[in-house]
Amino acid sequence: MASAESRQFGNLATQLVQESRRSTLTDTLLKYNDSLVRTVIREQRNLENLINSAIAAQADNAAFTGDAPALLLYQTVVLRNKRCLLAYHAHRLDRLKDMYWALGGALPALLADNDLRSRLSPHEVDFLREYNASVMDFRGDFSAELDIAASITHPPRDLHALVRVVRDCGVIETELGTIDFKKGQRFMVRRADIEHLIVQGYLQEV
Amino acid sequence: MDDDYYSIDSILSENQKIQCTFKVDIPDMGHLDGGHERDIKAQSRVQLPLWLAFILIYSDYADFTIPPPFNSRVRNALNAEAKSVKLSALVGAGGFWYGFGKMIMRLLDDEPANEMSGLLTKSFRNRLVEVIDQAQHFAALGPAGGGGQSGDAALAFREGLEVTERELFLLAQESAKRTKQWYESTDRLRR
Amino acid sequence: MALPISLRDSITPPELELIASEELVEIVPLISMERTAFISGAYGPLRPPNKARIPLWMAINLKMKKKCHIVPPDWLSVADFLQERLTQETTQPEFSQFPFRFTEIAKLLLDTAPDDIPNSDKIRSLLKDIREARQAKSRDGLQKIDHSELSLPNLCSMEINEIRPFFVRAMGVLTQLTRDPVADSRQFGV
Repeated sequence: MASAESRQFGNLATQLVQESRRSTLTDTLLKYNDSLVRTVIREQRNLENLINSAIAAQADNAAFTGDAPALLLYQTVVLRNKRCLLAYHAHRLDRLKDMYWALGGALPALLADNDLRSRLSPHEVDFLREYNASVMDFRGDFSAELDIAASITHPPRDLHALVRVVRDCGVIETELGTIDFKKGQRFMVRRADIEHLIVQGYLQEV
Repeated sequence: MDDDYYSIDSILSENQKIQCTFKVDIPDMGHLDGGHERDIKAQSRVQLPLWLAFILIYSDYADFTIPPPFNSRVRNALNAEAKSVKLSALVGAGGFWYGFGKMIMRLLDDEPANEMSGLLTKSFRNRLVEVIDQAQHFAALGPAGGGGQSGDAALAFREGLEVTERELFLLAQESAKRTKQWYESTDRLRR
Repeated sequence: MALPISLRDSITPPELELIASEELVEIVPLISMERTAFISGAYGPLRPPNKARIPLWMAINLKMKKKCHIVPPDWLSVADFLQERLTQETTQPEFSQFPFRFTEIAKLLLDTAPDDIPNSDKIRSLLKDIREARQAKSRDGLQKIDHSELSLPNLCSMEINEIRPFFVRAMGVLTQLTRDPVADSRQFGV
């Protein structure tokens, strides 16, 4: 118990969760706090050692029970730290999933955002890739009749939509044949053909 | 407010501190107090976060005193006029008064626990209508609307909302806005 | 698609409108059409000037193309009826009875077929007054809320939807604050 960081058990883990709270309040994903996560894990190892020596001390002297409350406390801190660590990571994954779906499952577009990339841990990038692979796999099962990644924010009213091109998005296959969407142009197109381009911000409904 | 394992709010609400009096000696635990003693002695008093205190009290290694946000002065004020009490001032900005109270309630014996539950539910219900009224009032003002004619008392009440109430305020405001927007939208331009 | 954040608190009014547009409405067609099968059922044949009952969405679609007149339901076509409901609404403590999706249907019809509704402006303003009278009642209902139930008979779909997010949350909070000896014996935190 020499180092200052171990003096108030649970404080560092609380800091992690406070970052999650701040992230929710400001609606941003903060940079993954690798060093704080590692420090909390170190605290867990330290606590494990303390528990082991407390158990050993008890075993040495059957009549001695003074360590029981200490054991209970150590264990409580271990469980608390674990809960904070898991909540911190789960909160980040939830945010990442929301960002992924906000782009209609366009993973390359999400990962192309260097600013976002710099705030992710390597494990989180792996997670997004595997999550995307699962979604694509599932999506493929319905590809003939339904796009499960289509936006459901606004119920459709018409089969067709009048759209304005906000960013060039190249040549797209539609029921009218191929269309080269160039910035500033307007088209009346079948909604299902271009829904994903609206979600990704290439087109805007007029 | 809820007990969800992954709930950030739930985890943070358990950080509220409570004064404990130890009933037993605990060797090598003096650091809990941030103090310089090596051991905790019986009868010593320590401020501990609820998540840590709970198990000690539950296991009868320590006693606790009702924390200031629930003392008799606060109780009387809430019973007299719940809307005039600034709950946020009792637990600090971003604090959870109801969540804190709920955990104290779980540590109490039947009779005081029922009393605490009564205090919490009564205060919540007495303030709820005002929370929703104000939220809907704000939603009706639209994006340009500021405080307007809402007045000092209303402003003071809003500042006194604790986290759970603030969430309800936002839910009600958002919902009223969504509905208003729908009523005011028109399809007459549809082709 | 995973549920977007904007849909998590409750169903949105446009979604309710979509659901309401499945309800059947009477039309006077201006074109002929054979009986046609859709996912939700078969409708038609349309033979002017015979009336037909078809889903609202289809009626609106035809109306937009000037291929039918919509016959508004009784409760929307007679101003006296709504006037009487308004009196009821402002003098009785209970909510008066309306079709469950009347708000959505009224708005859709007033928006797309005002020329088929006699006195549409009068009706629009009566509906607004009725809505405000009912809102005041649902506010009073809020005072009676507890952790287990709340009874507001005759509340309609759009009205339920507006209060749903915070009623549900508030009842959740009250459940947490209400003492339950069984739950209390549970261990804390972990």
